[in-house]
Amino acid sequence: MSARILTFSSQGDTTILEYDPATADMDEVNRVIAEYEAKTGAQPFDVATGERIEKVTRAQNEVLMVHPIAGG
Amino acid sequence: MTSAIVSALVLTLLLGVIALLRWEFAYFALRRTGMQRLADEARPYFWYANGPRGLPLFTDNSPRNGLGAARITREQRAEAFLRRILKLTGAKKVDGAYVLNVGKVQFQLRDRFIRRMLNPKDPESAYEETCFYLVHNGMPKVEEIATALLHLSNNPALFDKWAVQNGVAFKADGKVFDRCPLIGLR
Repeated sequence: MSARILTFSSQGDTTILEYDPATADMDEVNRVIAEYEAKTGAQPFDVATGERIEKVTRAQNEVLMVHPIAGG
Repeated sequence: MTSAIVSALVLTLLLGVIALLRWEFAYFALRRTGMQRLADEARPYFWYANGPRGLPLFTDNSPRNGLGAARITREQRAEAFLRRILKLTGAKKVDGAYVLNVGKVQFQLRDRFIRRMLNPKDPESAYEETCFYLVHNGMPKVEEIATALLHLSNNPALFDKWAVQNGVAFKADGKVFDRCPLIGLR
């Protein structure tokens, strides 16, 4: 079984990374997510619950990086 | 004597053509090998990263990214994703607007506009309105709506920030994203 980190983009939903949650180094997964957030402002949401999450754990199989919004 | 010379010339010509063809085939095979190596080198970093047990940690072989992606358009995928987000947030599409209830507050989202109804039970009630846009341009419209639905269902107070701080991008946790690529362009 694999887990995915995805995001919306000009290509539609796009998988940023995919890993085996049973064996993956979750610190590494979270490091990649933190780098992505620093670059784009996107933050992780659990697609199973629709809630924002601080850190991705092995329990999440699908995480959506949600981009910032501006008003205007 | 003449025929012998002609025969020798034809033979030489034939040998030359054969040598040329062999060189062409060898060059083509070399190019193919080189291109394959270049394609291998172009694979993303994640392809090579390994997990603790030597299993691939990151791969990019998802059917959504590969040939499978060609079967359905990005708009169809975006629509499908929006349906998932509607189910998650409990939002519904009514008269072209996506209606999201968060506690006693009701938001109505349309393309780039969000209304906050002051009295959701009265369709004629007054409302507040703000525009919104994604700081990273180009995603399908329905994914912009899905993004706004997720933001508001988790943090309805973001509406006030969008309405008041024109052009400032906010992350889902309400913090300002100060590396917004569109700041200064609007």
